[in-house]
Amino acid sequence: MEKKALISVVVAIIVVVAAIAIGVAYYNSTKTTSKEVVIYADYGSSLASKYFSNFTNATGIKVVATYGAMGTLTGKLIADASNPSADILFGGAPSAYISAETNNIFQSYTPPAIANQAEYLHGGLWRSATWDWYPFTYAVLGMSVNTVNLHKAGLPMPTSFLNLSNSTYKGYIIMENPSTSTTTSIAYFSLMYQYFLQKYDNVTSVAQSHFESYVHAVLNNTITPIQSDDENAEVALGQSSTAAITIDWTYMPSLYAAENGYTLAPALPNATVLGPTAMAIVNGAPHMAYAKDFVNWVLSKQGQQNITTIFHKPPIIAGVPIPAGSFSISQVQSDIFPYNQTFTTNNFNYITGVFNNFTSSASIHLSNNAIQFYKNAVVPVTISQNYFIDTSLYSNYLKATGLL
Amino acid sequence: MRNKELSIYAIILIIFSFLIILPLLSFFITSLVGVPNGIILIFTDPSKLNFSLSGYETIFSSRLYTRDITDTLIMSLSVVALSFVLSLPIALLFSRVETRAKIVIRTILMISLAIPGFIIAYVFIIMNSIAGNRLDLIYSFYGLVGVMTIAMIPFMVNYITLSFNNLDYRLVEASLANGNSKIRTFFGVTIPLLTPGIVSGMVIVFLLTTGSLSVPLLLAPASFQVLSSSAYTQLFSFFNWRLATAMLFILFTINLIAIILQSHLSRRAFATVQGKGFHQKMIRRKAVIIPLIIYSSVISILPIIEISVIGLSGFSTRWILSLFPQNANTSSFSNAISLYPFSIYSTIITTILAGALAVLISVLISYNAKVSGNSFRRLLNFIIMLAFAMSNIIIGISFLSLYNNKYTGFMIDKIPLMMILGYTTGRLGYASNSISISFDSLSNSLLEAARIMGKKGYDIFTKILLPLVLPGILEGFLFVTVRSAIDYGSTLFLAPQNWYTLALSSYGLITTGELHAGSAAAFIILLIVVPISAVIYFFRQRTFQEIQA
Repeated sequence: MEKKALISVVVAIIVVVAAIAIGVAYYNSTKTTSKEVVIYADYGSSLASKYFSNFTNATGIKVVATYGAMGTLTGKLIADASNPSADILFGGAPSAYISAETNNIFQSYTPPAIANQAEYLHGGLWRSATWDWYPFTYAVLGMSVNTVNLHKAGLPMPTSFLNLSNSTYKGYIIMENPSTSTTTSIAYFSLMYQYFLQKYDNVTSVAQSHFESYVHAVLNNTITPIQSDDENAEVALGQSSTAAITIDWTYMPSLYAAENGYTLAPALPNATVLGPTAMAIVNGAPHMAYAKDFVNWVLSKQGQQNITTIFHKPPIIAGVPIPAGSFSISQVQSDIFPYNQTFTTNNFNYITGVFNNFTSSASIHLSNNAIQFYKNAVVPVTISQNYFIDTSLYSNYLKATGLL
Repeated sequence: MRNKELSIYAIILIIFSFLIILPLLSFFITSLVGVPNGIILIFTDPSKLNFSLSGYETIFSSRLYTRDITDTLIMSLSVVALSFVLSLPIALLFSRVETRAKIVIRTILMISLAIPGFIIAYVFIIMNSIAGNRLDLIYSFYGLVGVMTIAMIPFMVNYITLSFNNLDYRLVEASLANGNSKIRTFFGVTIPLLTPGIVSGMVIVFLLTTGSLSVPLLLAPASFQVLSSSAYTQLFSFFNWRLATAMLFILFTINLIAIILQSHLSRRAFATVQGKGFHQKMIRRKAVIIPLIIYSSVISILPIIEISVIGLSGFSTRWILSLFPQNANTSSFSNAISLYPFSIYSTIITTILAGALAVLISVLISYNAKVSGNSFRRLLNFIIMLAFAMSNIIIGISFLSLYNNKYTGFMIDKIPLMMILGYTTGRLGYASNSISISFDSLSNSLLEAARIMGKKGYDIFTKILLPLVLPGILEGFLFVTVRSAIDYGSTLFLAPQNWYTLALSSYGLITTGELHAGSAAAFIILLIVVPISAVIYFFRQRTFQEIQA
């Protein structure tokens, strides 16, 4: 190759390098003035984008959002830990935050609005001890029911998660995979594991045996496909001509009924989870000041009102009306099962392992090796309280929603 | 070799070091230390690192993980076998039948090269919801293999057709004239001549299948987990980088073995794919031709169905239990575009730049080999093989682990440079293949004649070589562009916030339950890549001088 060609290559390289340098210089000159906050949101974009728009309208801070499943978002934050690009993780259950917290990806921050509100932090259980994450709303775990299909099949409305292991429901349940649905499905399966631990006096081997049998039976009633998360499960349930039940938070069915026209209604079981939905500022957030502005706006009256109107979820602070179909914390707090988030995090491997082994065909038993493998991951805890939800409350709820 | 050629090779080697060798090394170190930025910590804070082979030990000591390896092999080999069998009659039609119908069929099949697996999977998911979950079989091993096979048929057809086209029937006739039986001729002459091209096709399909992430995530049952999706779960559910990267490194090794095997079997491949207008034996019996046309037409209808279903779903907000969508409107498109407003531009800009870069590197390699001999070419080809063996998710993680730090992190989170380089690396093999075939088919006598006439290297390149190899260059460019536009695995890790592509947006929308907006984004992808695929088809025809009816 002659000099001209060689010179062309060198010039091309210089041009590329120069372009990069100019780009970096441009970025550096603008980054201090870019009034934006980068949010990873564990929500469907159609709803969350409305919420973020309202934030932008109120504060002038632009939101750059990424929507996705909690696992993907948290995994990406961990991958980016040495050079973070996101400012906020928004949505999802504390169990995911507890797990992610160990990777040092959150920035401690005490939002003034809830700093002294023990009631709204569930006695301190609903936030990280070091204020790495904190709640902005909460929800009650229940079931979403396709009322048309349930009626067509002549099935009774389920009143407990235990009902789902009954063969009456065979072929009518849609289930989410707890490996990917790290907010909803993991909460359900962990709740059941904790329930059996409590029922059998914390004798782990007995509780595990019952839990595994329960999972086996439920999955035997489940139809394919296993869904990746609750949003997909709601869509699958809403579109199905046969499926009648899936696991979800009680505010979700009415949301999907309103948005998509599905014939879905909530079913509130006894002994369930009252779960906070959390958010956190990312450690090393590029727009730290705006990230704090976002957190404070979410916990402001205006932000909380938007939570109730857009997401149909209850507020976490006083003075904001609770939307129809939701419960105040004081209404249900004492009747909810004493669900332990840290237990869920510590037993994630065992729970997902049991699930994965039984989803194979719902007729294969765990091999001894597999059982041992997953049991090694178990961190034993003691569950001593004995709370169950007041069934009269549930009856009132069913009447209020026209299901009874 | 002159200093100038040596310096070109040195530049290429430096580029390859940063695109392939160092990222792979970084990836391997991540599998040993279990943190994404392990290679950086070696230099900045080695005390934080805990080197261990425990990721690999866990995989090989647990049936749960060894099953992922066998499942990956079972799925990939099944797809290879099934796509080969289904492609064979179509390739026969293309290479042995003189009919105008094959032009239409082949154009449609080539277009389907641009339809990513996750869109095909999603089409079946939509069809399942239309049918009231009566197609639940798609969520099984059979469904997974079926969808992957549909996605792979165009690739397999291409390679088998090339093999058939370049089989010089005079050799077969010579064998028969020498008294060899038909069976002996078939096994002794025909099969050995066809093998290199067919094996190349099989290995390409194998690599694309093992590296696929989105289709197994959407369709694989929990009892059948392949390495890519299992590693994804380890990364994003358990945050276990050690185990996830060890799984993917094993996947890389499997791919590399397949490529080396193919390389060994295809040493004579260049003689079979240069397209010299060999004597062909055409099929003329209508009893054979008509079934071939009918069968190929049926297969070629699939991409039309796929595009139609995605389009209809994109233009609606509700489609349940009915043959046609109930709410026809464009709100899904406006939703998708308003959520990811830059995704169309991002897709176009990044993929075109990736195509250009891949072509530039491939031309440098091929040109240098042409004018200076093949001394370094084997080394460079081996490095390209390494890139070929890296699936998209491996490229994403390896680039992230090497470049995502406070010094070079801006190339990932601020500007789309590493995303473009990731696309380039992942498809360099395709561009290099197209371009090297074009260069190899040129006669050296042309260069010698030009030199005798006093032409300098630059003039020889621009006035003689470039016009002759332009179809190969364009084909390589367009192929890299199209395949990059449908990338999910590396984009997930390397796209800056403001540079999300249509593929990432579409998959994200589908996984958060916003199916129609996801369809709309997918349909826009098809609007961009399908016309480009048609252009590729045009150039492919010219490059390989295929016999037309």
